[in-house]
Amino acid sequence: MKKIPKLLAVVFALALFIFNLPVAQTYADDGVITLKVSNCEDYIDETVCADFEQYMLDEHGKTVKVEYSTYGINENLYNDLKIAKGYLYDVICTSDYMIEKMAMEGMLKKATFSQECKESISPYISEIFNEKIIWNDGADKLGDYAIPYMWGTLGLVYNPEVANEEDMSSWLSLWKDEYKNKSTIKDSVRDSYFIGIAKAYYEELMALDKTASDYNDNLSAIFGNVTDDAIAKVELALSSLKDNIFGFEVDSGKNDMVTGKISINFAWSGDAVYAIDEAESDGLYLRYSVPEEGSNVWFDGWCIPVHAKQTEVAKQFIEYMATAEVAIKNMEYTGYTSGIAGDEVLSWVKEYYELGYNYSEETPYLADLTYFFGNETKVYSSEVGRHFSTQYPTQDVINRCVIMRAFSNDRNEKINQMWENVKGQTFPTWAIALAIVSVVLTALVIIAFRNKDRIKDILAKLPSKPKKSKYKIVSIEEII
Amino acid sequence: MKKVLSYSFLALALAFVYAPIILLVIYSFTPSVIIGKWDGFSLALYREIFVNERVRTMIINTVTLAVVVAVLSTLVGTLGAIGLFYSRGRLGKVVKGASSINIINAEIVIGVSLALVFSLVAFNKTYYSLVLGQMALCTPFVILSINPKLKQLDGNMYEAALDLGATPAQALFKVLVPEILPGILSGFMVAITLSLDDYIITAFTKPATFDTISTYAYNAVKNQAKSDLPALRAVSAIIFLIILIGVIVVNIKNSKKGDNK
Repeated sequence: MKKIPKLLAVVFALALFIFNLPVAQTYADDGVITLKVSNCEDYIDETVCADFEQYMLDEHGKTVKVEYSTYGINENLYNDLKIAKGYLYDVICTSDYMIEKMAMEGMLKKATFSQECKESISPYISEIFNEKIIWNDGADKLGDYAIPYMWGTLGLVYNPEVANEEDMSSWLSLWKDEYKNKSTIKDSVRDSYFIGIAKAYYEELMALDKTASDYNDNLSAIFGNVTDDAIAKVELALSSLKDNIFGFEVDSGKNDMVTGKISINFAWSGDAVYAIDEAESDGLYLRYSVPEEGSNVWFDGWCIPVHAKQTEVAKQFIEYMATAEVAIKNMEYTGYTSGIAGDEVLSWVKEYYELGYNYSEETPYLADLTYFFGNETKVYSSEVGRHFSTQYPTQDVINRCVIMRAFSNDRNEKINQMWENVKGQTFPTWAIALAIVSVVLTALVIIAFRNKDRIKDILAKLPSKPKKSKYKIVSIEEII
Repeated sequence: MKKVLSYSFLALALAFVYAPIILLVIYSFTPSVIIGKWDGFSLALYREIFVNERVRTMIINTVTLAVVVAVLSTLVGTLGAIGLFYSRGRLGKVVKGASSINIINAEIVIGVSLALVFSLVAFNKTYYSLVLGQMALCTPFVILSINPKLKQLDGNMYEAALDLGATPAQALFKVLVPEILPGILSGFMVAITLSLDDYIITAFTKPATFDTISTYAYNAVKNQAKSDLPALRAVSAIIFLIILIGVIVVNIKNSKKGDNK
């Protein structure tokens, strides 16, 4: 019994040692401000972090050390922040619905960003942030919490040798017999819900007046329908689709497109550009299409968690990310499209995609980007349905793209359940048959193995051909 | 006929297990981002291991972590196993049972609970939480691999050593530990392996800026275009080669031993 106090003392000493060190680390800052940033993997040109440190030293006389880290998917980040309940990061970058969800749950800080920063944002994205995604009867809006980073659309990447352009302008083609086992869709309920709605409400969607000023709002209402009735219809639609597609995928779709395993892939525009680029070196010219029924526009944004320690520097970091120069750097690196507009970005885009100001034989297609860059931006491009139009969709595509809001918790549960139902029946009959057969076979083998001796006995009793045995033959010859 | 069948079954089973690894090794000789697309033979990915700082850091991180965790959990596990072996009574039984909970427990449960506990005491997502978290995973396996050796041991050996004038420490290190050394070594190897390929616990407890091969690979799949994932194919090929050589050497040694006897 004497040993116990000693043991306790050791444990306490050890505990103190362990608890003390991390605390000591945070105090020893000697004027250096550590800014903890978290973003998706490979979603930034990391040199801009060093540039920011330099910028802060030159412009504001502060020594900042950016501690850049990455996470897997939005939900990982959300869980980390939920578990920590305290300081983890100063700046995070996450997707539209996740920013909305976090903001609603009080996990983000409101921030007033500089006028200059706000003006650099594309009017189209700015409208979404400040007028479309609002809650609490307009008291709260996304723009109070976040500054946009990259954005894009949802559509179909396809191999034009297999799927024709006309078919690819409708989600319904995924249900067609001729494309059986040739397409994959995302194993993500938020994304796949869209095609479910497109199938279930096809008539309603096509009946909308595309020229009406409230077309986009009406479209939003249909695509954002999460009533029990709509969920049931989507479940039916997706269940019938399941038998016609090659499968669900999380991130293998783009690779399967390049290797030719599949010919149609439901994809985000950023992944589409990647697939188009990769396949081109193999002489495969993939295309991207945003179907006529309507689609989704997504974006990521920078925001500040509520427990952030360096709010001011975090704000400066976000504003720095929104400068044209940095936005261009990140676009060049990631291949995604920045939500930042302005003349500098426009001239970079023109140069990068070899766009023309006027019609010419090299650049025959007109692209109206007024919605994105403001003040009447019309450019001529050499391609439709490839890199450029995937990254900067034209006005008419944008008209039919709607935002998908964060689901409320109770809807989320319903929709997840629906998705489980859809995926739950994925086992085709032959797979079940195969499973049963292999179980039976294994059982037989085990039984046979256990009764080895008895089976041998039975076999021995059976009349059989005399075995050819070397030993016997030799012995017979010897006898003769 | 029987032979052909049994060999072909063996070949099939082996192919099933090794085909993905062999595919990985083959594609480590092409710089293509995607497996399934051949961009010509090149050793660029192997060069990448030495040139690319991120890949290098990742490898060093993973190996260092594995060694640190394995050493610590072997220490704790060895002492724990001996302690448990000699402990009696109801408490002893309870502790014995509790020590093997993590072996049967789902890793995700361990991961989440560790993260919750660590965030309560304010050092979640530091090196401490990472090392302690992985130790929680590895130590029970060390105990598990030492236990049989202890059971083979003559239970009176320790007392005998004391009777012959050894101090308790001497009895422990000069008598007991050498006897169970094979168990300790195999526990150490198990701990290294577990730490090397652990993803779940690492992901929950690691500091944000610290990446092992497994956590990086998981994060990087989403945005493959610019990732260093291809270089990991070369890393995997090298690991595979090392293990292959290791296994062959051990086998040759063993068969030679057998011949001598």
